[in-house]
Amino acid sequence: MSLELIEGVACKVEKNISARDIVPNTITTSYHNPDSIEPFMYLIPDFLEETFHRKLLIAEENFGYGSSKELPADILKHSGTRVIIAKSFFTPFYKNAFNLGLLCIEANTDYIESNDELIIDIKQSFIRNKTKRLGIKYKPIKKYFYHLYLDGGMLNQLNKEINNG
Amino acid sequence: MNGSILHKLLLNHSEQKEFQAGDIIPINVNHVFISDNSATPILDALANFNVAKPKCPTYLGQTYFHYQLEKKYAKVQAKLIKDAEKKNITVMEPFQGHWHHNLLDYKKIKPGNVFIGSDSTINFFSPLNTLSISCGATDIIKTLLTGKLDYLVPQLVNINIEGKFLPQTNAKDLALFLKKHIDDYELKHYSIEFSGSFFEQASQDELHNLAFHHYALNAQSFLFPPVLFRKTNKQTIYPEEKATYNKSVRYNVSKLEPMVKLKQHVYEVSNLEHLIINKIFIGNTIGGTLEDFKFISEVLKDKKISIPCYVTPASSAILKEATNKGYLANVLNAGCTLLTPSTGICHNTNGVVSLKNENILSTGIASLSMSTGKTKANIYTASIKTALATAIKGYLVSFKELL
Repeated sequence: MSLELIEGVACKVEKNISARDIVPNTITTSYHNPDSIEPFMYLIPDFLEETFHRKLLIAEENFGYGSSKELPADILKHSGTRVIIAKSFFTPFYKNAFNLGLLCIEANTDYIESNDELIIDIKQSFIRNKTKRLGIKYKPIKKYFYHLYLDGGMLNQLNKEINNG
Repeated sequence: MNGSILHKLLLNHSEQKEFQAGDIIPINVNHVFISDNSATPILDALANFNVAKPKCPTYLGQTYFHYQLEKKYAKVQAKLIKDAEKKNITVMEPFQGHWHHNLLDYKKIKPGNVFIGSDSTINFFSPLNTLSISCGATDIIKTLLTGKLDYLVPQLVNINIEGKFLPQTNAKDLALFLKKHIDDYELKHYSIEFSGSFFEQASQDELHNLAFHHYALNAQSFLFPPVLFRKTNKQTIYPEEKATYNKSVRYNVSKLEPMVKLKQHVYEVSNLEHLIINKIFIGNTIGGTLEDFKFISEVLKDKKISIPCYVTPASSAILKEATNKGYLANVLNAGCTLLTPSTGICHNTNGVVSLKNENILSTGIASLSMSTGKTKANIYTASIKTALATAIKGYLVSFKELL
């Protein structure tokens, strides 16, 4: 599985997705295991079933707004989501996702629909929509975040730093 | 952002002396708050990394009532307290209401501090002239291990507010007004630095009320001038006269109309006037302070409410003080129901159930009110003034109707 060339099928969610749409506030890491929680449980009750083979989550603006909690990003990662492509992200969600090693890409998602086959070339900052036969260029990911993604998250980085003295 | 409060604060807390929006810089953190709902992975990580004591003073707060229906509640809470005490983390006294007001009473967070926490409303402390940042668990873990937070420098918007509120408006109306206009700024990842004569006469409650709405405005943090410390010699931080910002806007609140919000839409109350409201929630953190209880008591004196109105103090200390000062008699005589200090409203765990298609008016933050994700009620949010006028009249109405 290449970290820099990702291939998959798109699953597009509706506009205005808040952190609480991904996971309600009543569910928290102190009481629940992220493995056992389905994202979008009230908004898209069959999300996991629908997206079993579709690991690329496509969204609109300000994805994950309204909360600084890490759990929404954590649950999406545990659900098998490999990358989230959105027009923009709520900053705490974006930071939390990379802290967990979950890739977020800011790009124009107007030309991506559910079930489109995509190839994401991270090094080239380019998304190829195989279904629609078009390409989408996006602003490169900042090095800080890119390394978090490659290292599998901040705790892995910390472990490495400690082990390397 | 040169010369701004944020710029000065970052210079004081970072070895990096040149930075701009979009940069990630390590900043020294003064205090950390951990909420019990996300404390388990944080405390587990401290154990895994063999940390004897966090690098910064840390407080564990218990948001009880959120999760009391969980089967594991007692066991989890007991373990959290034990683990926190082992790591020299201050365990805040439980069952005293909402943690914001309790931590405020500790008087630990000082002007010029960087304060972070695993809660979305850390910005409550920004009126203390601090940089207050809500973080995810992993950022908290790294900060407890290193004393530093990797801070993503935001764009900075200066909002200059002039004038005084009309009798029918307060800080909640201002927050909703700004929410209505925030998209016009066309910015991503920003914080807001406030200035202007309005803040010279604003009360501490009004500032905290406004501060609660930073996420509603999609701002990472608010920065306030040190108006609460104008008579003391604290380490306050003022902006330079020639401070620069990514964007500057000016508003005057003298003609501000009462506002009401439903989901992401903000309206003037006059546009929805006479909308039937079924239940009203006042408090806990917004509308539940001692100043609020004094106001509620004065408004409800010799009056009766027309629809169910639930009033929640922000903390046990406030409830005690409101009782001692005699504020509760008018509230209860008017027909209001007093709820225990808690955040139960957010999670429908205080015995008050919202029904399908009900119109509920809350003074809380939109993102928190009834945030179980499954409520089918319409949750409107408005100021305590609008809420009281509506409780008396039985339909949505401006406080002007009572004057």
